[in-house]
Amino acid sequence: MNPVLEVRGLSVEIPTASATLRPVRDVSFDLHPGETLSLVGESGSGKSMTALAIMDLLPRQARRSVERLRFLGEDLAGKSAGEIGRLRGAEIGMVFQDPMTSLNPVYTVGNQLMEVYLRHKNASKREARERALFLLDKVNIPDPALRLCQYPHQLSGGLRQRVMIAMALMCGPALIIADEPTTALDVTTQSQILDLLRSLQREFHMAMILITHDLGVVAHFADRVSVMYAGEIVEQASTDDLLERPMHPYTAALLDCIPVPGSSRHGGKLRSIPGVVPLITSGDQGCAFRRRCDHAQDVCKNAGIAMRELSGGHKFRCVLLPQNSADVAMKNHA
Amino acid sequence: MATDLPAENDLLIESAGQAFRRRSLKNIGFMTGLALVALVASIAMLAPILTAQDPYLQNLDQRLIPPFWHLEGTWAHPFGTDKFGRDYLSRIIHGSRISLLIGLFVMVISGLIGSTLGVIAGYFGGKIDAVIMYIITVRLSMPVVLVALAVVSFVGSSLEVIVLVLGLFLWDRFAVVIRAATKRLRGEDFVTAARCTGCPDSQIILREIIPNLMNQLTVIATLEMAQAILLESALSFLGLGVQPPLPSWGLMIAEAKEFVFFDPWLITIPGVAIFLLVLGINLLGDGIRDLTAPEMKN
Amino acid sequence: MAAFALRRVLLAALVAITVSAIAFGLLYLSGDPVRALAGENATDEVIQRLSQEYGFDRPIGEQFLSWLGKAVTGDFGKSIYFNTDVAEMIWDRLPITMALGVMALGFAICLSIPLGVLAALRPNTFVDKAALTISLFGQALPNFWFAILLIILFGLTLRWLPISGNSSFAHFILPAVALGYYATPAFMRLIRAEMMDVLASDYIRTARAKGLSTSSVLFKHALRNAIIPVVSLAAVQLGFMLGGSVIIEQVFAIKGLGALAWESISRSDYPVVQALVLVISVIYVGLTLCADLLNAAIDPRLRHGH
Repeated sequence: MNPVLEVRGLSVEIPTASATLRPVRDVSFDLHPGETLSLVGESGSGKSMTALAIMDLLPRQARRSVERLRFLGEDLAGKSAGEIGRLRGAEIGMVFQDPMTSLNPVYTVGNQLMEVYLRHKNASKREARERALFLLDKVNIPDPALRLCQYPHQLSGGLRQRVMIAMALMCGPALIIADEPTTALDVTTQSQILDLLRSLQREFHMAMILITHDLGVVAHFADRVSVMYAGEIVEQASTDDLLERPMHPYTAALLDCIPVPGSSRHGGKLRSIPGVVPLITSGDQGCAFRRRCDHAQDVCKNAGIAMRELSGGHKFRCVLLPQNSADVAMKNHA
Repeated sequence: MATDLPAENDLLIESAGQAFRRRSLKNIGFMTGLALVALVASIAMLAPILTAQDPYLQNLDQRLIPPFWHLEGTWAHPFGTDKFGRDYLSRIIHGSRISLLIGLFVMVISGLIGSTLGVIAGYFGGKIDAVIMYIITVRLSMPVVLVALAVVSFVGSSLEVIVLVLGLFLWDRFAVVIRAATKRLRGEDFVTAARCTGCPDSQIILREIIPNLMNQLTVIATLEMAQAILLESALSFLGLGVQPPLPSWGLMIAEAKEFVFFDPWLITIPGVAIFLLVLGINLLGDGIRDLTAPEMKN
Repeated sequence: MAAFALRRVLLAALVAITVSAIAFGLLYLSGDPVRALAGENATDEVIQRLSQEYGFDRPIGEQFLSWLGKAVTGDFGKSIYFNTDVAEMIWDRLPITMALGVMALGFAICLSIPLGVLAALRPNTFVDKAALTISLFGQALPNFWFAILLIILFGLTLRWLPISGNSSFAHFILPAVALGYYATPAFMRLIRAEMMDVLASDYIRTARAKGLSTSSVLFKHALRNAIIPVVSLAAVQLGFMLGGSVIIEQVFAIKGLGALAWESISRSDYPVVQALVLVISVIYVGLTLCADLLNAAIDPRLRHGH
């Protein structure tokens, strides 16, 4: 099956007065139809920046470089801004973190919904309105006709996020990118929104990139996971594999931070990872995690830590031999 | 060869003062402003040394001599002479004293009024804030130039009256900005902490609030000083500000109005003087704002 | 919305009354109001008459209320110098100054919106620096001096435009530029700052993620939000311009309110000065009131009481 999205060697650089920052470094992954890939990491790990880079929505100062970026078999890297604009909103829908600020305050919900459809489809206003009503109903918003004429500030956060989801689905996209879609919402709303996203994904058979810092969310919703740290993917595997057998010390540390009910895995104590994600500049080499890693050795300072691969496509970027390596076939990944 | 990640501490060892000096050297606007203001200030202070000519001495034989760049110009009067034969350069030099004095005094008076009102309104909020906001609204709705002209005319014009009138009028920006800044500071944790320990309000205002307002105060002070200098020149231009024979730059432009056809330099020279001084003060203010509080930069 | 409007109107009325008290008080600045009204060479007979007419024998509060009562009905008394109706004098001059103010405002807005938007789109580039320089120069130019420079260049040297009087549209061009130029920096800085804020906002990212065209993102989504605070500034600046027209009308010999103000002040024609201060203040109060209500109309968040 051809992947919906193929990303190879995606990097982002931001030149500043003192140094060139590298918030995304050599990110590669595939996304298959109907699949949910989760990008996980702490804030500052580059997961949102990766999504913006794919969409060509980076801030003005940022420079993107990519070896290969293919969407539905088409090369995106060589496309003009106008051509990518035709895909955004039409074939790729995006849901952002903060629904309180992501809708334009001076236009009605209906105006903002219909606008996408009118832009990408050769449709009349009436058709656009019908599509908007249909989708507001799909995202379980009661009384959609009323909501259509309301302004964003008249809606609660949960409703606004539903509107954002409806907006992302207006043109029937093949891919939906959800950037921490529930972080700004309260806990009860969070699971409703995630359940909604999953059921819509199945109904419309879309691929999804789910960006989150919450491994609990990942465990429930993702098929595959890419763990990001300081701009790099440090581990990539199917969700089950990753949760069962984390190979990278960072993944292991992240998993240690999650409370497991009824488990005494860590003697009842919850761990946290000391320190913060460093900013990587062009001069930096070696494993970015080594300063916070319990197992760091001199070899971790060396440049070019390669991605290694276990069976089943389980990849990780660490020079330390995994403790349970005896029973898995190891091969070096170029 | 492996290089280590830069430690956060390496980036922070520079003191605030060092950082200010390092950045100020790079800020062209700030340096230009500083140079212009320093120039005018030293001219004002050294006025009697800089020029041997009496700015008030009339010499009707030597009327309207053009400045040195004209063919008929003479180095005895580098900027020429006015319609009474007074040396224009020395009038410009002595005029700088009037502009700076008025600017400084008005700034102090309006700064005291405005920041007092602003701090009180922002700190106490509620009804007190509403009353002060109302006073600010009333002040803003009065046409400054018109009322200042009327007051100066009805009371009688002198330097003191002009300083007082402008000082009583130009406090609005101080009040508005300081009120907003105080409001913001009042919500900060360190102020809340001080309140929790039972510190009296006066102590909190003096020790916690005011020191944190100094940057904003400096910036508005420069803006208001520039504003005062411009308004003084306008009042003097209309004949209701500084009175002759004092060499106010605005008054010099007014006195030269009739010569606009044949001796336009009589108008351009004092105008350029006002322009450079006000530009310098504004650049200085903008520079201080950029250097001390980059987040205030629009 | 209705409650907001009502509160705002009440505040405006309160401010107007306070300002009228101040305008009334101007008369007392010179010490003896009767002497001031009558002029230095007035005979005892005139003073007697004025004293009775204005009721200076009554308490000052009562005097003010009777003056205010008349002012509300549009009766500002008679000019001491011309002995004509003050309201009529003002009414004759008002359209001229209004035209000047509106033209100056139009000039300022037409110059500053494109510059401000361009500067926000290309921060720290040539356009931005040029806009910043214009704004710095604008703030430092004394406007009467700038007006004279305009006269020298366009009136005397190039002979393109008339330099004095108010008999045709062309007569208003140079004065409007001289008056409006001073407001340009304020507009430009505001638009640049607002536009930069808006362009960095989440909803602009949403608009771009929706694949909307650049012009739609810029004009429909960004400018519409950035323009909201400009309405308030426009009202404030127009109010300032009416007051500031004293200087510009003097330079260009325009017979508007500003010229009337200057003449009356020089002649110590107190009733006219009082009336002018009151009228210009009330116009300012009215303008800011309109701006607030207009803002509420164009910003749905205000409209629904947020």
